[in-house]
Amino acid sequence: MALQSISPLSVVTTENLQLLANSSEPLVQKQIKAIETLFYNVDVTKAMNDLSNVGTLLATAYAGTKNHPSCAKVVDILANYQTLIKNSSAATTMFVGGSLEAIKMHKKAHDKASEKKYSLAIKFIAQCATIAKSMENASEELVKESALLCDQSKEALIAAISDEQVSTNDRKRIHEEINKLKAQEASLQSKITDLGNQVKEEREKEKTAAKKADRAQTYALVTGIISTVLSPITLLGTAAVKLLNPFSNEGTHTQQTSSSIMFNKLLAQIQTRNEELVKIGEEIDLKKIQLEQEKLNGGDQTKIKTIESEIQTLNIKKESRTKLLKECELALQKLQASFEKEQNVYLKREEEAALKRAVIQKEEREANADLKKSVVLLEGLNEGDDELSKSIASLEVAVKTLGKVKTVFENVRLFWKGVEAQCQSLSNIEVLKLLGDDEDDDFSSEIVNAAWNWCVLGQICIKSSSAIAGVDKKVDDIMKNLPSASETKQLIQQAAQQIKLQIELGDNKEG
Amino acid sequence: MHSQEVGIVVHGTHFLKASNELYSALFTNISALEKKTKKEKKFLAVNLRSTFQSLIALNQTVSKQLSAKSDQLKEELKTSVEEHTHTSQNLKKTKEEKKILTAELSGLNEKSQKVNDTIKELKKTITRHQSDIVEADQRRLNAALDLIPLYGLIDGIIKGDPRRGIPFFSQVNGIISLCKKEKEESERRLGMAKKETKNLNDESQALASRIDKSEQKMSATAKKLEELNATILSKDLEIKQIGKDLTLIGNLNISLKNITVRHRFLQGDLDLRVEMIDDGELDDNFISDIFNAAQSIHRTFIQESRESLVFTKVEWLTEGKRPRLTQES
Repeated sequence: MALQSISPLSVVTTENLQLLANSSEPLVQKQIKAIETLFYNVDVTKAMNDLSNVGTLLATAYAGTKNHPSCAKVVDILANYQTLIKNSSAATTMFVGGSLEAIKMHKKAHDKASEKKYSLAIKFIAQCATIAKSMENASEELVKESALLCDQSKEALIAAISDEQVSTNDRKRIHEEINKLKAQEASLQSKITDLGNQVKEEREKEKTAAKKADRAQTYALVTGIISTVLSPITLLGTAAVKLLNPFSNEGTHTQQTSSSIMFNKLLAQIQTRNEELVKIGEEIDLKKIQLEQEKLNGGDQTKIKTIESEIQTLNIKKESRTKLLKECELALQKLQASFEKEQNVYLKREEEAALKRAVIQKEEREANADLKKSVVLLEGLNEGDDELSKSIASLEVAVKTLGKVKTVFENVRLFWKGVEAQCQSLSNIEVLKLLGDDEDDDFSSEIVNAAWNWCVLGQICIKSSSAIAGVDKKVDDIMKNLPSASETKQLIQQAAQQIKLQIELGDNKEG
Repeated sequence: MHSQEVGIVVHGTHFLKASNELYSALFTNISALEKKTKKEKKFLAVNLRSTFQSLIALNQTVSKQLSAKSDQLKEELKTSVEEHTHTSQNLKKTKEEKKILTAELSGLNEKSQKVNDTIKELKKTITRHQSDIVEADQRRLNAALDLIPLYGLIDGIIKGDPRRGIPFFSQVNGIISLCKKEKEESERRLGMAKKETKNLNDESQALASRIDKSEQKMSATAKKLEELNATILSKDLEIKQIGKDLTLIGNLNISLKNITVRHRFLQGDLDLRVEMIDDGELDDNFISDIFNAAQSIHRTFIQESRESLVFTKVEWLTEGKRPRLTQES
């Protein structure tokens, strides 16, 4: 296409505008580049493409902050983003139409200038100034909207960071509680084992004391019986005495107390005395028979006297043994009292052990209950920790996303600021008016220059419009289906990793 | 179109009717323009311009109403999300309370179980003591029988208790005393076991009462959780609906804005033409240009309004309630 055929004044449709923008003609590109550089500090295509991706990022941030205070701020951004997209879409459509309209007016103005009808040409140009002014106003609105979104993104970012901090602190607190409970659990387990052993020990003590008390009681009774029936026992002989010993079959000394040892000794003494008495009795009986025979046979008086004397000696001996036996009886009675005392001591011990055992068992039950409580609490805390870690991960994604979003809106603001500046420049037709008033020859070339300006604005708006075109539907889909609490979980699980990776890759590229 | 205290009414059919009336006036003016003199043409062009101004004003009014509605919906969306968050946090707190209650209840149940286990053990001990008492009674009876000559000896030999072979009254009496003592001991131990059982039963009852109270709390917490979950669900639905309404209103507004822009261009063009009539520079194509442009806008308007505006009705329900957007039949 020749330069003449791609003159800005020949542009009538959007296709002509695109052709002009895509022209390989260096002069055309130079002209476009010069105007772009003058007004735009950002890469328009990138800024608009980024804006189109913001919807997904915001939806993720919404999911990430769901159930946190920052979510209200994110949803506000999402709603305002939808408005920005719609207004941007309307504005770019209007700007493309406005640019084409203005180029048409410039063409007419150029034609009138060729016919030397300068005042009429100025009227056409003035009409373009009105268009530029309304476009400037629209751009200003979009600058404000972008700036608001930028500020809101900053606020949301701060809120999300604060939420993340709160969750992190919560998690820290939970970890502390978990550690505390784990320590408590270990201590309780050891305490329970210890208490279990103590219960066993006290039960054993209780049993032993009961057994000893029973033994002492039996000893006391048997001792009593023996002391009462000592004489009849004597008649029965040693076998009977042995039979009376209630623990004669045990044959062990381990369970013997001092009283039971005494009892056995006494029993042995009684047995000995008893045997002696029996022997003395037998001897006396024998001597008595001898004496009777001597007397019947009219024996020697000396012999009779000797026998009588021997009987007397034996009787004295018998008396002495009987006395000893009586002493044993007294000793037995004392022993009985001692056994009774011993029994009381053991009974008391048994009772004390039983009471202590009951107290320890109660403590053991408390410890078991505390342990059970700790275990269940620990389960709950682990669950809470899991939820919090997911929540923190979601908020991390939201924070990263919002950081990215803020930059995008800042670039968009800069873009609309550029458009605003360009529109401002286009609405200023003072130079053209002066040239027209003086019927200057440069008037026509100035009209062409102004038309170039409109062409560049038009082609920039075409680029923006095509970038935004698909976004409008996308943001509508997001807004029409804001995820519920349960959907959020799925969404964040699916998207989080992917978006995190994308952001990190983006950051690396930018870095 | 009319307003109410509760808000502004945007009613598709009303808007369409008003727009159609203006379009009808516009076409009448355009068709009449061809046959008129220069002066009349100027007069009609000025009229035409005011018709466009009316259309623009109408669109702008509705657009402002929609923007106000959109702002209100955004506030409501924010409020709903805040309420959702508040409810969620309340739910989280209640869940934590439930966890603590569950733990407490588990502890109490564990304690109750252990108390009951101990009671069972004590019952066995009580049975054993009772059996000891019966046995002691039996032994006392045997000893009494032993008073009958030779009975004890024979029975003792048969039953392997040689001590019963000592048929002395005192000893028998002693055995009777021993059995009595044994019985007394068993009774004493039985008493102790019964006392301990009573204490444990009291503890068990106190525990049962605490468990009952905890279960009541649990039930109240479960009910609260149910209510909170229901609120969350309803808030989710509300949020979704507001999102949908915002989209609908946003699209409606954009349609109107696009139409307004085109009207503005046309109006600007008319402004220029009115001036050109004065300059004697009226374009030959002026009438057909205006007519074609107006027709194009009208077509767009009809098409877009059919898609969104005509079939949409913003209903303002009772005061304080959110409007509901419905499709007009």
